Amino acid sequence: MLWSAVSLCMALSGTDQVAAAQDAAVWQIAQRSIATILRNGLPCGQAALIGKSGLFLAGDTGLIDPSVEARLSDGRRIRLDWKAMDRATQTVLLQAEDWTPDMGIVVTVRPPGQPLSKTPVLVVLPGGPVRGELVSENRLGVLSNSAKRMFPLGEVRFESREQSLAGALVFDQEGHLAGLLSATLSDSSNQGSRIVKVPVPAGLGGGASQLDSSPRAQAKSLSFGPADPTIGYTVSSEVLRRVVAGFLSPTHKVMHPAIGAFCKDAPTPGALVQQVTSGSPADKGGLEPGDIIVKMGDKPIRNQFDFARFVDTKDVGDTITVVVLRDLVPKTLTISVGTVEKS
Amino acid sequence: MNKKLEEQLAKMAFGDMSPEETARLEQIVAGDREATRVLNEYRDMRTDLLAMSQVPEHQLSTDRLRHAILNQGLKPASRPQFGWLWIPTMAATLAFGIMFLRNARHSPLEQIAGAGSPVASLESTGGMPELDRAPRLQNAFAFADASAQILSVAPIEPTVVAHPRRRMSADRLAALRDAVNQEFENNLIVNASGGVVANQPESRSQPSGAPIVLIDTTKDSATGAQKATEVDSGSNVVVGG
Repeated sequence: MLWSAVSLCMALSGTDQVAAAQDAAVWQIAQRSIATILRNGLPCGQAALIGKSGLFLAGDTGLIDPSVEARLSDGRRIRLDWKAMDRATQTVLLQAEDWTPDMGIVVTVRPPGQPLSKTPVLVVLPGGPVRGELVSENRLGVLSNSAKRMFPLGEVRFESREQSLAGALVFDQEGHLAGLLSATLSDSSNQGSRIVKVPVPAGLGGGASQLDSSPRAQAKSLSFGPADPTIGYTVSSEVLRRVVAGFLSPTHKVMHPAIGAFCKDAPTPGALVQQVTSGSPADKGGLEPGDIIVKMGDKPIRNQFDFARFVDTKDVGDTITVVVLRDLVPKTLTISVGTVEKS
Repeated sequence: MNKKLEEQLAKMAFGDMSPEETARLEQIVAGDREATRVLNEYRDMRTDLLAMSQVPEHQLSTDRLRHAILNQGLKPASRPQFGWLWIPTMAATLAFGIMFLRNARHSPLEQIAGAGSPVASLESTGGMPELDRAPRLQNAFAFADASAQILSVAPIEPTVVAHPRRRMSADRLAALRDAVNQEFENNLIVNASGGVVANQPESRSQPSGAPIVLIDTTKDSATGAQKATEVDSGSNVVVGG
């Protein structure tokens, strides 16, 4: 029985060693594309190199300064200047000063068609990388701002004691950028053990946290059990590709396709138009509030999510046919796809 | 076991979950005896519902069933043990009323004096006695008893067919049937041409079966990222496109 236990431990540790080796290989590839953003000399975010001219992609983690300091993997310090922002995905474009192409490797975004479920990923936090799992790339996410934009999201699960997770970069096992953490589930206490954090007064050895200098974390914490399980959401790799393409364009503007309509679920199969933005492509195409969209292109529309998903797959400038029910009478409209001007 | 896990187990048992989510949940259940027990209970419930011919499989939905159960409850409707007594009671009341009216011209003392008389037998007329030819009884309750003998009928017990694999009590099965039927009736809608169509499954708003994620612009103080919450039903969620 003792030897069985020993064998089991050796087998498990062997599995962990293999996983650790894979993570190390991914980190070896990824770290040359990453700049760690510093605030007061402490890490507070990550930026990924997306352009050879020194263009970096980062999450909007409340970067209020127009210029921030960052550190490359080889220890060199650079300055990153605010260049553009995409409010829909809460991402920012930063330009490195005095950049030369040999200072880093441009990251590649995860290509389409990859297996989706339970993919191991590396989540790069300010304090370093942690192993995670890409549970799904097909979650539906809706922004609660005025744009009410829907995006396909990736759901990532990992454990971390850090308190600054926004903007964490997510890499898959091939070293491709799979996402950028933008949101965390506010109630993620269903999985894993709960952690108890007990602040230790300074007189008993407590002090400022190495990783988080916020006033809330001034006391050193004692942690019991595994780290906090976190469920995070990233924009899907297809949306990420659109963001990178937009930031790399001459205007540095991300063009999310839209027609300017807001829909909810209709009582019958379809999307019920609640509101049409004045002057939008939907307005010009003749779409009216109260219409029930039942078909777009050759795709039947069952609800508002089908509507949003169909629009999201189009490019700005495309022309689509929309079949609606207006006072129970079917009508066919032709609408050109525009873009979101502001949210 | 927390409520959210139980809801997920119900969805899994009723097939309202995507394969990814099912596989993930199966892993969790494998190590949890309580979760396994609850999951088996929901699976048995689904099997029993399928055994009822009134519930087509494509209309089974955990959301509607849950709603129905929460509103109706699984507890069998309380049935009075002697429910059949209302018939003779009504008959007695009616008879008493008629006797009172018919004998209104007699003094109350004569009525009371007749209370001790032996019970009179009622002539059998082969059916309901015609009240205008009824013998004048001095004991109204005797008349009531005789009426009860004619009016009482054997209670009709519903025939309940339970799945042979699992014995579910007749009351519980009937309560489930009523709850589900009530829920289906509440969801009848009118289609575009004016005809009544079958119930629209609530899962139509959630193509993948997974909850919808609502992302708030406010930051989560614990993580610094935007706050996200999950909602099970997306039918009232407005999206822009």
